[in-house]
Amino acid sequence: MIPPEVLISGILEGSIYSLIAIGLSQIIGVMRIINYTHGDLMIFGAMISFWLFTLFGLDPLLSLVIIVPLTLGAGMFIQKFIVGPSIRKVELQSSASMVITFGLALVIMQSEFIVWSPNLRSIETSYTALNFMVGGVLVNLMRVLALLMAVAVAVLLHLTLSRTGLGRAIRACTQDREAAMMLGVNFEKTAYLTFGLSTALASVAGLLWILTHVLNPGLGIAFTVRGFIVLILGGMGSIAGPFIAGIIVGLLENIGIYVFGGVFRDTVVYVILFLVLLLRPRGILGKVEVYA
Amino acid sequence: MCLRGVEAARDFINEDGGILGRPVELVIYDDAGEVPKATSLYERLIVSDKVDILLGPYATYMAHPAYAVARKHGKALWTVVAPLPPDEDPTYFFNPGVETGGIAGGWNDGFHRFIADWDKWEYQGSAYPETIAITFANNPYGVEYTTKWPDVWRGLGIEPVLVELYDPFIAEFTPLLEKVKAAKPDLWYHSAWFGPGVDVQKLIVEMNLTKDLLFYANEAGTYAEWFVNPELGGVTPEIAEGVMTYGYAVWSEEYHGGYADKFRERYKAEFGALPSAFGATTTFVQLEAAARYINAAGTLDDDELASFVRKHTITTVVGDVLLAEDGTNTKMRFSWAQYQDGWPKIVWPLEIADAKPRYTPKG
Repeated sequence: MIPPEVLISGILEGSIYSLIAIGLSQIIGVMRIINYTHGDLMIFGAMISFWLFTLFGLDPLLSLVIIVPLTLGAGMFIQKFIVGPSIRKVELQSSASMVITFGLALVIMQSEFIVWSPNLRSIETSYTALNFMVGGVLVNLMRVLALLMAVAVAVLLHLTLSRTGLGRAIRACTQDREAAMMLGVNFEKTAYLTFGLSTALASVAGLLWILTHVLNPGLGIAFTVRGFIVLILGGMGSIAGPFIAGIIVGLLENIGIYVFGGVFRDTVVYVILFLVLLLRPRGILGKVEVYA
Repeated sequence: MCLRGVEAARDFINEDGGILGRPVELVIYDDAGEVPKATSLYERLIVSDKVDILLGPYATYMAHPAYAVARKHGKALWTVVAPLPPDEDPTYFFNPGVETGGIAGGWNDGFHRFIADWDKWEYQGSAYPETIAITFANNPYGVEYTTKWPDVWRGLGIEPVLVELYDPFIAEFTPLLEKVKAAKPDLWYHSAWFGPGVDVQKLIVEMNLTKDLLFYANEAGTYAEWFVNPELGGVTPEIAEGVMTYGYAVWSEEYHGGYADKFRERYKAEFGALPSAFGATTTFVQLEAAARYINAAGTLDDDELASFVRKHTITTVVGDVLLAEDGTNTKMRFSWAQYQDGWPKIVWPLEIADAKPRYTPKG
């Protein structure tokens, strides 16, 4: 019998993976590029929040007001001035983007090491250790809040994509870039706004992680890889796919640790990934190929 | 932490006249934790900088390759890491802060020795522990402990009811802790450095897990100056309360060997904490042992020193030092500490204990 606490922690962890994957999916969908900087930008957002809390006493949830616009701008800058120009005239844009973003990820990670050191950081507020009992199960308030925030952000993104001009442009570019451009969509602008949006989502994921776990700059690539796994499992073309896949991965990791032992955590996830790729290569709710 | 330790040692040695009458100057490079970079830097230190004394880099995986470079040039490496593999020539490997015969360096062995002294403490009639849970990160160090330690505990009449390796990277520890909870051990040893140690410590308190444990050890606590400093990513003193961890003799106010008093005082004055066992103390003792041995032998010749360090005993911040053939310290015994009122206090061995261990009475 698997204790309910194990399942609950899996759902929470998975919801943060979901946010990471949803951000990645927007960039792949619109620009067809593999963005290796995602995890490092997630750490960036988390560390800024850590600074705001420790240096200025700003509540981490309130710090979203600062880190979301800040990381949105950082993402837009990266796409407009670094990634976009460097691959614009290259024939194999996806391959070139992998190399460029991988190099950029290393630069960001090393810069973060210099600024924040390799020390693992976490944020301890007056409410992060508050617990309550639900049906005999001990539940941490911050973890529940993190889950609710992840759901809220996913819903907000869904509304943005379905009901705003930017959302329509993103969806149009995802479906057919050339056709969208012929119909007047400014692809360059959509691309850097999407990169910014994706980075802002990553920073929210980073904040939720640092509130419930610990982080250091060296972990960025691990989160990027987790994001890709979730995205492949969930499939492109919707928010629900990566969100559900994130929860599944979180649950599988936790169940894997409990049933088989900590060293088998990744094994369980990769076996499921292998099976999904064999049986349903577009992912659980995928509408288009992940790598078009 | 490493830099603080070696700089303190340099200052104290120079205040006492230096090494063979010359002041110590440090030549420091950043190896970025990368083996190829470290080995080329050691080549540079020997061939280009022509340093007199080589101090080891941080961590075993870096120090063993660095030693290969030193040995090639007939230079000694003063270090504090796990012993060399048996097929390596240890002639120039001087490892004063590590126990001869200990499991993977012996850092954690103090916990079973502390429990073996059960009758020496007044545990208000609490029954001798019958079970233990052992959890280590999945690395060579953890593998060696989870393989060899269970039999040591069985030898003490204590059954390991859970022996588990975990993945230390971005791990969610709730499943592991649920397994510990289900195993209902009397004792729990959790080996974790840095993040996993902090993560687990917070969860333990969240889950109220320690209420049924007689003693709980968390290796992350050995970095005292960091472990109870939330601004550096550690935990609050309240969360650390009761945690047991290993330390060096210098942590005890009752120990005065080598530069122990000066080192403790300086550290507390500058950083408000004890020097971490791993990090500051290890780099300190590398240079302290080198200085004391070289001054005693009257030579910088590493061939003469290789023989001298295995015949003569010196006293340092970690206690007495007499090196074995494999370079480990035959006199070394790790101390055992417990966080009490916000600070780690040495509770074992009895001779240098400055506090009594606190525990949760069973039942």
